[in-house]
Amino acid sequence: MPSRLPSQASKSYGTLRQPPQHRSHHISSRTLVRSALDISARTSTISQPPTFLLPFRASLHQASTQQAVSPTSQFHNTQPEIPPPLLQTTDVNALSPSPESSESTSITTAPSTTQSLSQPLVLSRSLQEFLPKLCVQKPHYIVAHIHRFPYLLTEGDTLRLPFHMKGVSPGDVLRFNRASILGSRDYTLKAGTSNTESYDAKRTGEPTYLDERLFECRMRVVGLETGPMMDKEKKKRRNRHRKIVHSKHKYTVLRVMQIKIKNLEELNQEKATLLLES
Amino acid sequence: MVVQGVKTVSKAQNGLGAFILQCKRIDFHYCDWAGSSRGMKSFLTSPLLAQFTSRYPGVEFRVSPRPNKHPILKAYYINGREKAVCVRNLEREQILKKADFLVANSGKKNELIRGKTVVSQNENVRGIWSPMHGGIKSI
Repeated sequence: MPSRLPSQASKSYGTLRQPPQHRSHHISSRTLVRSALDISARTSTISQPPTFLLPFRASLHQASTQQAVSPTSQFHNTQPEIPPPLLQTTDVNALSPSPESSESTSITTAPSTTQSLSQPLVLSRSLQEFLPKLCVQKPHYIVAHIHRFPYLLTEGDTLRLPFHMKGVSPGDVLRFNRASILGSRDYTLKAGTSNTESYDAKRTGEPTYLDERLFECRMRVVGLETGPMMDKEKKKRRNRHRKIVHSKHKYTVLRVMQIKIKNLEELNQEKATLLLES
Repeated sequence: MVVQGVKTVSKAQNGLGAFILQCKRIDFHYCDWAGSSRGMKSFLTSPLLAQFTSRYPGVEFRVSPRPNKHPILKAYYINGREKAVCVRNLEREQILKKADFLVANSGKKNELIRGKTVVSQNENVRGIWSPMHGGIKSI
């Protein structure tokens, strides 16, 4: 990983132009480096647009254990293709048949993911009650979304993406910030269901996501794979001409390094982001 | 009856903690005479080669002539397999793409995988549903 830094620095265009708008929902460590270069270039150059014209950026909130590793690092907050709806309810349902969980209170309104980093993170009383239990119960799973598609992941899984992710190289660490479900054996934290009707019916809407400050999901780029060469014969009737089309697709392979659900103390340590309802 | 330990086999999960690149060596072969290795020779003399090799310090790179043959890239992997790509008449940027792919590859055979995007070795987090336990409704 550190050996790639000089090659990044040698790319002169990376320092001059505006940071690229990544439309996908992942943040690579390469864009991290590029953003670091952008920051240094932007402070030096005077021809800089005002702050409100700059592309929206915000720092993903690291846990307190990892803040020491990259204190100055800033991530690009990726814009989703369709902005998620404003209302996002968070349900905490305990699967155990206790009377308090049978109420299944879903009052919490966490703000949407794009504006969430500027707005405070609001936790309802039920979330305050059940989030520590979810954190403690250790094997976690997450339903992470890339380009709106859900992938159910646990730690150590191999995810073979159905496309070739550009701009990453093996060894890079990505952080997924779109997830709809976090869970353990007995507890599940779901994003709200305000938009799921249209999402399920026609698969056109954007699913609702959890607030990205609640969890950390890190993926490592393991490599690039291909399928075998596929041959397809194209033939029209009453015509002797036949054409054979060859196709060979590439797929990026990722491995889940870490799925971490932040507990209340870590959320409290973030500066002025937490607002507890009581 | 002696208590017997459960045999566990360690499972390979490259990238979970440490990450090891699967490619260990790449050979660049060219021919001085033939025109099909024109792009290969320009790749080898351009700064692209140094930029590419400096990104992968753990991989061995060899450049050697292969007279009267087309230029090829040959990659050797940890699992003992090797992959060769013929790069005749390709430009140097195309050759760089092929080399990028060979470095990032795992060295396994190309297999057609349909539908299995997530492969997990872990047990199911929520357990397996059982009709005998929980959620029994009284009729």
